[in-house]
Amino acid sequence: MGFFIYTQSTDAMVKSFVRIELTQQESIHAAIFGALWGAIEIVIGTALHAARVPFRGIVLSLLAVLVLVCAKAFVRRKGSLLLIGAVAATLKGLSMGGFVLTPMLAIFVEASVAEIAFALFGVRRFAALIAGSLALLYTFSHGLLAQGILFGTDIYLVYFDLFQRVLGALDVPQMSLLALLGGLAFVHAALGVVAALFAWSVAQRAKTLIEETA
Amino acid sequence: MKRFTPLILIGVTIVLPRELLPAACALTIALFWCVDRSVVFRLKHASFLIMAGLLIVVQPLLVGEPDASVLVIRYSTAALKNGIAMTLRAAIVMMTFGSLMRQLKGSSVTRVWERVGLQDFPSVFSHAHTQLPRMKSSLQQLVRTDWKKNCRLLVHHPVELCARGLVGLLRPPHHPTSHSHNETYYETLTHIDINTLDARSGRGQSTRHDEDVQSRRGGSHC
Repeated sequence: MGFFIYTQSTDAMVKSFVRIELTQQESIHAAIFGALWGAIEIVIGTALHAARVPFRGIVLSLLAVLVLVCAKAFVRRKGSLLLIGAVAATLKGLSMGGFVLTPMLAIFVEASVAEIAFALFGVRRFAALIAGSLALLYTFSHGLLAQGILFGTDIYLVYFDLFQRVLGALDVPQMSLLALLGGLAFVHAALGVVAALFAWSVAQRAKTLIEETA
Repeated sequence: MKRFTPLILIGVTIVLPRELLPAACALTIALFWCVDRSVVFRLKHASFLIMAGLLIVVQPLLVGEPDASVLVIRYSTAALKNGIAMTLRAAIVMMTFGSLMRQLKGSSVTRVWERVGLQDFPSVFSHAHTQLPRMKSSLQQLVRTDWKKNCRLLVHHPVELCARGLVGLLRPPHHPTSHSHNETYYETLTHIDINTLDARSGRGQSTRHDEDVQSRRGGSHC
């Protein structure tokens, strides 16, 4: 029952390093949250992509934090967010007429970082804040990581050289590049914290409403 | 062997010296031309062509020390070689990833998730799949219809609105206080009266809204 690590045999460990078993109620809740995240990615993600809205990744990540934090409040079992992320990623992949790696990978990584935060700090508000900030920080680095995989690490040297030239032309000290990157990362993390706080409040209020009507 | 070909190609591309990339790219194109031509046509995508243009044409003009010239335009040969190598590497990676993803099917994805330990994935996914049309239509209605009212609700009572929406989603359809099968999540949200919420500063008490909902439910079951 529950979440356990296979230690009985090496073969089993290789086959499955973590096994998640949910109760029926938890399965239903996980399915609902997975479907909700999948629907958000399909409907809102596609609409934002078609409209070429800037920073659409941030919008989708904020909504993802909302779903992830609420999901963890209702399905507290360890590893449940991985299951929800897998469901959402597969739904997103199926909706695109053929699996596309990048969005699926982004969804699963967001779920994974949130799961790690909750596994380390327990299911509480502080963990939710860490999960939110980590998810948004991943969004910040996603584009750079994807370009690194596609073009190789040389692309970072090109960007660095270009930035240096632009800063030199504008007569701005070099430290400003680091300050700019740090500032952007901080803004992303702060947005994640706000989204997680909001999601935590929503989850607690929803629990109260369910208890009242039970 | 066929399923491992893309992985081997990606691995080789990462460790391959820059000088061998043109030959590797030509071989990859020839291989996929024989196996699956649609993967080769991915290179015609506008985004790839624009990025290739930036790396091969624009980058040598801006990056590195200019040491050669064409029609009085000075450029860096090192940056040009670097740009060509990056474009070739991207072409190989794009084709191999495309091939890898084309080989994936729903059943194989399910097997992958099960293999990493998500044993409940098939049952949870099938339930999520049945829920998806309801949620998609509800979200589409929420985005397209009456967005002014929804925005006003979201600004004034965001937590309450989202919490009630969440409860509407999680409550099973046969629950005595839940809505009828035909009622959507969107309807759950739009039936929230903003004046009722304004009047109810202290949360957790029964409201007129709740009574309205109860009476509507009673009507729908009759």
